[in-house]
Amino acid sequence: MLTGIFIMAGLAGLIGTALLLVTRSTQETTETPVQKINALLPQTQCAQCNYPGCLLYAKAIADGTADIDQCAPGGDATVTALANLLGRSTRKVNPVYGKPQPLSVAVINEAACIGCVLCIDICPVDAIVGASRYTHTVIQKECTGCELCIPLCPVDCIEIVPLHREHIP
Amino acid sequence: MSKLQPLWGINFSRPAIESGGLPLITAPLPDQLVVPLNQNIGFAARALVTEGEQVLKGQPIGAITENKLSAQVHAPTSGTVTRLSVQPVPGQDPALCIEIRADGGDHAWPKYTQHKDPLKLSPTQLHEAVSEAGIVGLGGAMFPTGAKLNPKDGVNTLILNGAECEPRISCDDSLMQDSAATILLGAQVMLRILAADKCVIAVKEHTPAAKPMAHAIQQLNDKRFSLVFVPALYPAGGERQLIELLTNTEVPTGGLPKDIGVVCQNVATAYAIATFLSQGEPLISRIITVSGGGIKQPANIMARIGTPISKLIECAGGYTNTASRLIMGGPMMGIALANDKLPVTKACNSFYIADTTELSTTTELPCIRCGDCATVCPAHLMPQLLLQTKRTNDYSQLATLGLPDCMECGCCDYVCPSNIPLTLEFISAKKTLRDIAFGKNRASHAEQRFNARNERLEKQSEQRERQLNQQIEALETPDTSTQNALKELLLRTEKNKHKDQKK
Amino acid sequence: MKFAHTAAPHWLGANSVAIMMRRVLIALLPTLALSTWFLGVGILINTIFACLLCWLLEVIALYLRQRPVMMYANDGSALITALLIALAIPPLMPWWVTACACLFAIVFAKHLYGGLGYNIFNPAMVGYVVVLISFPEYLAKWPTPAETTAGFMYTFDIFLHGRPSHELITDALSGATPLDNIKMQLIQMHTINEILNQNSFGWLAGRGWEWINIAALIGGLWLLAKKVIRWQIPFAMLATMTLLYGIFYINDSSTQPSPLIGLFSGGTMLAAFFVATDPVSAATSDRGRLIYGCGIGALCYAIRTWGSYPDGIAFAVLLMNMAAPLIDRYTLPRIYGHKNKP
Repeated sequence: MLTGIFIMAGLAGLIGTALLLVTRSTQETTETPVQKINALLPQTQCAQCNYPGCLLYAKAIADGTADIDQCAPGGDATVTALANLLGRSTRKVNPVYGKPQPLSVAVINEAACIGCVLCIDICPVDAIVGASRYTHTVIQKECTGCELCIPLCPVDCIEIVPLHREHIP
Repeated sequence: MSKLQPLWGINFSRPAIESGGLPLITAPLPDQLVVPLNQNIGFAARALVTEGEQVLKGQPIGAITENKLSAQVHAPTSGTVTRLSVQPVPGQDPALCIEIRADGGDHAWPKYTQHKDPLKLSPTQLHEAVSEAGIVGLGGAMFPTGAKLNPKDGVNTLILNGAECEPRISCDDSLMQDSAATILLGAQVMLRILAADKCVIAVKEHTPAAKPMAHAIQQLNDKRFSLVFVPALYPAGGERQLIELLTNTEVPTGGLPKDIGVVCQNVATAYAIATFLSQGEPLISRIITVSGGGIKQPANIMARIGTPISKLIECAGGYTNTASRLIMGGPMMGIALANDKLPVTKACNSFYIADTTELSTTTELPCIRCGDCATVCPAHLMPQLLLQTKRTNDYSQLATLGLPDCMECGCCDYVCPSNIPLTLEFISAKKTLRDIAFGKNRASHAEQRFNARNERLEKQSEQRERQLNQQIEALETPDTSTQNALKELLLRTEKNKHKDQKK
Repeated sequence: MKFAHTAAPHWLGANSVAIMMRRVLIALLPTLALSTWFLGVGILINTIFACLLCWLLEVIALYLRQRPVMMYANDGSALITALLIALAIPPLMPWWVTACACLFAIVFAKHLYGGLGYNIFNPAMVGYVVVLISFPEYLAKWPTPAETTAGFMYTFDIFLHGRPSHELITDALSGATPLDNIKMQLIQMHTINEILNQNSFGWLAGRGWEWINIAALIGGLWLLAKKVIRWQIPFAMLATMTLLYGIFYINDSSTQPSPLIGLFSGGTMLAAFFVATDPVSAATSDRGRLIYGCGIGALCYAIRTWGSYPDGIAFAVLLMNMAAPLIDRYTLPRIYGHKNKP
């Protein structure tokens, strides 16, 4: 009886150690869950998900306070990627948070711009250049198409156009 | 000569030889020519002429876009520029095209010199001449040759590709039969530009060009030249496969042949260089194979760039009743064109007019994992595994399995017993993979900028807070000079009081 | 003139699944003929019954799965499964056993996994193993020489009712394959030489079985020449078996059968060229195929020698089927221009 107990205990210990070692060696990265989630988000920083910035949305997903279907710019592909990462069932983007769209950028109609600097202040990635009472313009390469500048413009001179990849160096 | 026998590829021996002995004819000068300005990989040329302008044969009408990968374009004949407009270009995006009405005189532009011995020129002069002549890779890739012949690359071997990649194409073969000596002169020029010490000329075995080429090399008596026969396998004439066959080394993935000291040029490119130097004629014409069951008299046709395809068809006797596809290039990688009104460009090495019997219409069946596709794949991929992975949308795994190394040669489609359009699937998957990579880059770039902005804003607000605090502090702790002044005032008033009391 | 736009490549080869399957069927004919000659007309009855049933089950399964029935049902894959089942089971077999094998092969092993191309296991071997385990009394019973020549009615009686209407007077050894014989008699402390001198053994291996195996070998070589199958799997499997039989034979030739007996007994050749090479369930990379073949050979030897079944090919194939995706994953070829394997 005592021998049996020893053998079983020894086996349990051995297998446990082996399992532990295997888990240790197969862990690929030291990324935190939030970082992993954040890496899947499109980083448009558009706040359409009701969080100011993609990282905060990633944190909210990790905490369980936000669902995975709130990222409209990422589209269904991002939802699927998040679902795969978190082992949840995939679905479509929740239409409450906007409609998925192809990659796009903002363009300022420079003839109409009055140089109010409102859009420059809101742009999350500093993609708009210009100065007070001078025409502003969007650096196409930097713009994420987040649409945050659209409602602010007092003369409605900003529009969102689909991105042509060839035009980006 | 060693026997080269790769493990991949498809042996099309019979149909390939079929088009080997086609006659070489010259197409008559058309009345109207359309010259696209994007006849090269990279950026389109800048138009140098305007509507109504008179041009001469060989006169530059499109200039290299500065500091960009681009090539010159020349007027194929003398005449009047009638229109500049954006038009469809075979195998390329629609681009600005220059329409020229020929005056029939074919007067040459007099500004080019005809060198008796081009090899006496300095390498730099020769290099400039190559760019000036608007020469691009004539095998179909259209890479500007001037950019490819860079003496700084440290290239030691020049491979002259006379082994047509695809079956049914014999334009290079007929050029080698006709002008082997001129090709060798062009090769000598390229060797001089590159300062390379070896030139290997690859010819497909059992083709009519083998003999004249061997004879010409013997006549030249240049120790740097050697002739190698490659098996009549598809795609042995593809750049990377040819390099693997001839040098037994592989071009690193994502790299260029120059990374392993090799440059590969088409024989027609060498011919064009020699023609420009010795006869002063830039790249304004080329040989095009017009063949297939849908054409009455298949032939190799020397035609001016800008000639409408329909004129070539007329030259080759016209369509048969069963013609069903017009394919630019060969039957394996060629692009099916919708109509024959398009102009001939520098990339057109062949028009294959398939008739109904040559094309098979089949329905796709499930993959039975026979692995035939993996056997023929020249990139040593496992197409059946790629297909499975693609259909499960596992794109990160696709990149690991080497999808970007697929050269879209179509071998897997050809052997597939289930008739799965593998190449089409892979082309779309490659595009998605590029889109994903683009999105990832864009995302990480945006993230960086967003973080940088937040940092900056934080610093600004911190600074503002600090300044505010300083002001408040300054108000709360008045400086000593005021205090002293107050003290003195107090003292003075005290004294005055005393004085008043004494009084 | 206007032309249609289609994607490259514009040429397609003449090969098709139906052609491949037809060639396999043709290559199986010599084996079928010789099996019928040596083992009796029961083989033929089973073949015809299995072919009809498998085809019917295939049509029903395709119909229920809402696939284009005629396009898939005529590819011949169901007939190959049927033929392999008929050649694997003993000739004196009641119809319900054969039907059970066909049902499990076509419906469970093939269509429930998604049909041709998606089955993980070789359908014929699944069907065979199911009946091997479920009906051991029929599956272990091979005809005696008297039974092989007993004529059509005798065999058909067994096919219909499961037992003969009249008992035959049997001579000596009955109801076992040569492989079974060797195993049984080795346990009874006979030496190999004694066993081989018995009536049931021919010039090479079991009487009749040697010819059946040679027929399978010829059919297999024809398939190789036609490039329907590749050399790696049969070669690796036969080489491994030769090696293992050889090692043990050299070590102790009195109790171990020689490699020739091993290679030309039971279903060795049939398995090497027709079962293990089933592309759907096998490994697909070149090196993977070698490993896969070796695995089948080694497992087959192990089961034959140390297991409780006389022939272990079906189990060996099914076990290696399970390993095929893993083998594929670790034997990917090096891609052009890459230093390392993916």
